[in-house]
Amino acid sequence: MKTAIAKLSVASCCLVVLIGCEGKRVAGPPEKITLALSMLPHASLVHVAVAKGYFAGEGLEVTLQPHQFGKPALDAMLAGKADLATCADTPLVFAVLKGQQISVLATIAGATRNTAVVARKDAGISTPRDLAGKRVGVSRGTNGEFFLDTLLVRHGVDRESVHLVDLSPADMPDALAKGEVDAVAIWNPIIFDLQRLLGDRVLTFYADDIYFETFDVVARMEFAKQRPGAAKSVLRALLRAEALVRDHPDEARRATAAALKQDLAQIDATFGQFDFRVRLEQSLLVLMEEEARWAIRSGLVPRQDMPNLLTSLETEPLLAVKPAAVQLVR
Amino acid sequence: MHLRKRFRVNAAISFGAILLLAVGLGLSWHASSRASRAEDLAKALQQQILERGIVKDEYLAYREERARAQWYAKTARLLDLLHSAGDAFDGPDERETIGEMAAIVERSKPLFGEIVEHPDARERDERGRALPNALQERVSTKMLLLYYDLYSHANRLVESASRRARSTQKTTLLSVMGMIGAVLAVTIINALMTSGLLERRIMRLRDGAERVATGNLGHRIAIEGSDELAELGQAFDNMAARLQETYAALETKAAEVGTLNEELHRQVVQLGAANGELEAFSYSVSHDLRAPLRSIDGFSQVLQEDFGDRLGADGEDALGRIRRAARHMGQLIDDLLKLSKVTRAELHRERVDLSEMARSVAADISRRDPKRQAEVRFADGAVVEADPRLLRIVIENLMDNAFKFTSKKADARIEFGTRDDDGRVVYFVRDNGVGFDMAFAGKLFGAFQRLHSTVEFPGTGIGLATVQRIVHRHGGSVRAEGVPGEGATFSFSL
Repeated sequence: MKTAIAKLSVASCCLVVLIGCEGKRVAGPPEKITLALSMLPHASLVHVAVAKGYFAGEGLEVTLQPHQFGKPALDAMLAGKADLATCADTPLVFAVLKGQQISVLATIAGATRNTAVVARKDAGISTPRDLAGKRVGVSRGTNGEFFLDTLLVRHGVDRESVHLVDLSPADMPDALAKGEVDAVAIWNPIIFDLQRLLGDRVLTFYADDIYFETFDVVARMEFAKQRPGAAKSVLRALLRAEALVRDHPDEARRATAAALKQDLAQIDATFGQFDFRVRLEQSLLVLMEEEARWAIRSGLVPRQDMPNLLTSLETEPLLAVKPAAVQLVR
Repeated sequence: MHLRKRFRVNAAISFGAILLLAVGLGLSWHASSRASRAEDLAKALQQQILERGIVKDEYLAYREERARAQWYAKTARLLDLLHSAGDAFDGPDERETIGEMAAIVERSKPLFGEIVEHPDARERDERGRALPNALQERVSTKMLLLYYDLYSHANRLVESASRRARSTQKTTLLSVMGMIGAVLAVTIINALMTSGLLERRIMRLRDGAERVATGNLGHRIAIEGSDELAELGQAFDNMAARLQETYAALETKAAEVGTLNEELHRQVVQLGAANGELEAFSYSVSHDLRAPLRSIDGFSQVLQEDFGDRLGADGEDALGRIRRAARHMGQLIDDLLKLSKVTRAELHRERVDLSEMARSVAADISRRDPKRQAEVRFADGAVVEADPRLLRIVIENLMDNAFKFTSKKADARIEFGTRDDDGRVVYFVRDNGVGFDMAFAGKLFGAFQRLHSTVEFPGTGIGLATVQRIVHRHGGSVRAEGVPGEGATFSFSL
């Protein structure tokens, strides 16, 4: 576990990726873009596209900016350090509710069991209802927080009865192992690492019947408007990666494991939970609106009217490269 | 290969290609129907999903039992359709999509049940609307997500079915075009091969025929193979060989004919010489024999006139006989000379009216013997191309004979007429005189042949021989028919 986190920390420097051994070359000099990338399996399409040289094949010179997870990647993009970022839907919603001008170019993965609450049995927790009155570690403003709320609601646990402890995902394993928290709301592969580390001392609670999360490629709005060609090239490269995942999943898993510097077994345990398809669908809008309502009601953002989140979905690039992948009520 | 067999093989190939085309079309039609059914089913699924979403929203808004029942009915209908969709969709991706859709529908059932059964759901505001609560909201959102996911899957199915239908249409079109192309190619190649073969052979036949026609009888076509044209070539070669043999035989015969012609010419020359001698002989007869005869007759006349009273009756009778015999002999010599001239005279053909000629001859005879009574009839229009001088001799002989041999008849009848004998015009002189026995008909036309004594009917027996010779010189024929005591008919054609 520590090793994995250490690997991610070491990888915080910028990497320039120039891989052009496959795919068609586009005439003219390559277009440079910077991509803030979450080093997690949910961004597998990006990792595969990098590993297979699909970006270079589309005439892009991509500078990768690795991040431990999506929220810091998004923050880096919003800070102007990157043109694009990969992150889950919850940080996106928080960013929009805070007035950030972002454009979602596409969902690149979806899952219902990628996030869970891992709880210590010795803390007296055997069902989600037992979370009442317990300390639960969570990274605020992430899907982990929204998942925790969903789980609590699902099992009729009063949100106010749970003590939330804001933790970085990297700190959660230690915190849970040392008993600083009774449970953590976290995603893969940390769930996998915790289960392996703590064995039957922990229980894992999912809410897959009502929970759903997406992982998306987002851009600063001015990037999406000013560089539509680059956006389309990115999407084309991701669609090629989608085809590889569909047609040659083993190869895609190996590429992902190599990119994330994880054991293949680790990737195999979680890879199948994801629906790796490049798309922009109405479900993303519904999901984002639900999270926005939750964030506003919960006071996690300043009280405000529901914004029109449809304006944060940039459909033109994907419509240009794969119209059938856009299924939005417009 | 025989041409008939070749044509049959060509026809069989064309038929096979067309059969293949028909089978291909049948398979394409089957695939197209299947794709069409899949597309209809996918659209039916879309419709069911849409309607199920509508009744769910109605239930969430008003909690009406009708909407709840309809949602469950739509769910059951949707699952039925999905379970039966496996027949129409057999692609692994499509079946996976259908399986995922069924799983989504199954996942939505407990969620909807939760909405229906949740205690909070029964709380309503003053307007009767269900009040929202956190769980219901999450469940509703989840159901919405499932709805969109389901609809997205259905869209994929529709897209897949449409793609398959388009692909099937394209495959059908390409297959049909390809098969038509193949049929055309096979037909054209067959036609070209067959026509090329026929053309080469027919040209060879034509060249061979032309060579043989120009006299190269030794040329042979010698077409290889076993078809009808090869057989025709062989037959032609056989014919040329026979022709060559016949020509060789003809050349031999021609050489023989040449030899014979030379012999004939030699004989003609000899004949000319003989004729010359004969003419000289005739001249001698005419002049050398006639002079003694005239002397015999003349001196007999002198004896009769100067010494008749001293000769007595017997002497007178003897002298009379001598004189008659001398005159008869003179007549014989004249007739012989005439016959000789007839034979040698050159023919001068011109238009001759035999009817008029017969009338003229009969009139002459009547003038010579005005007392003679006979009914003479003439057919008009007997016109021929012949030598008029010789034809007159013919008519004179025949008419003289008719008058002569009817001289003893009180009701003598003589007729000059014509008749058609198998398309040939035959002229005849008929009488009702003494006639003759047909047993002697063959002798009639011989010189000096007589069936009656000169006492009974005077004559030299050369007339009919002269007639026959003249008719023969005109290329015709003559015949005699008679019945003793009833008359005779002499007919001739030219």
